[in-house]
Amino acid sequence: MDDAEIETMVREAAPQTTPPVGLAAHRSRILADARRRGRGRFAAWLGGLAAFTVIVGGGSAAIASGGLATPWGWVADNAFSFQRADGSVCFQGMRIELDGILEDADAAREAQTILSGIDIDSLDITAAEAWARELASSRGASEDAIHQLAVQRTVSKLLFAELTARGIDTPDDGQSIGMYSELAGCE
Amino acid sequence: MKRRDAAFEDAVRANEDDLLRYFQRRLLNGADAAEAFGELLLTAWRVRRKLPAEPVQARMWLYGVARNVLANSRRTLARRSQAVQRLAAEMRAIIAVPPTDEASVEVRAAIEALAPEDAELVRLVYWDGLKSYEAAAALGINPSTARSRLSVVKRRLRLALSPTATAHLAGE
Repeated sequence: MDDAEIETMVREAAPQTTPPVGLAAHRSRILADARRRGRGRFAAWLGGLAAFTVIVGGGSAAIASGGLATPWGWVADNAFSFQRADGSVCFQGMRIELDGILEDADAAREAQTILSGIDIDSLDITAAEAWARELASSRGASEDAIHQLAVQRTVSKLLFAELTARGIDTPDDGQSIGMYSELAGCE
Repeated sequence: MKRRDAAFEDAVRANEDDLLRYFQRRLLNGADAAEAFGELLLTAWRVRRKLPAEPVQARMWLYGVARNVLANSRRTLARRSQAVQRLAAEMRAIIAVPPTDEASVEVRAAIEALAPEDAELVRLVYWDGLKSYEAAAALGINPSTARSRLSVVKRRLRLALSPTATAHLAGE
């Protein structure tokens, strides 16, 4: 059996496909959806900036190199915002917190790279939402609070799982790597 | 519409049929393929700045994104999109049918037994119709590496296939 015969056999073993009718129309709708989402995220982000600017009395918010300068006076490694049920915006800034580790240490840089690289919009927070809902059930927390908590938990779990995967364990001799965050408009 | 967005839509339009078939051949179930296709569009849209300007390179870039979508079963974006769910509902009854003759079953089993990247190289070239250098780009490997791997893989497949399967090809 020569190469051409093998190639014919492999081609003939392929599953036979039937395309749906009107794929172009579906594609247009999906991309329109993508465009709407992009605008929604941008609007929510602007809303978040407006909300916490008011709260802190004129603190500036601008994208700094390597992070987001927050009105709390520190640069966030990552941040997210979402519109709450009452139309207001909840914003959360997060940064790597070091204890006993120099800022320019490899472990610190790795941690910041991991946290800033997390695409919060595409996280699957289903499991964390179930956890947060159970935690909040006796406290009467809102769906917004559950969502915020679920995102925070998912981000921190990803961060620490990735640190462990990279062989960066928080040492026990007084050094530690943590995640610090502040909220605005979430209460 | 911005030029970048128009270029993205042109690239998707030119490749959408092939990309949907790519998912159908690997996932078989129509709804699963539709969700993966939707996830591909939504993911690629978000990173469309990285789309190469040259059409063949753009096609390979889309295949690369498709491969990543296939490797990640979460489909987070697609499951939140009504437009994707509409396509999934329409495709629920569309099943990609693998040929059930003995030779084809044996060939697919032999491909499955290869190293994952070799198996995908074979599928990209012989199922999806990509040139070996295109498949190399989609897999992120050197074109000459792809060619030599294909050569080795064909030898392995020849050894793995039973006389019954090869006799089928010969019409015996």
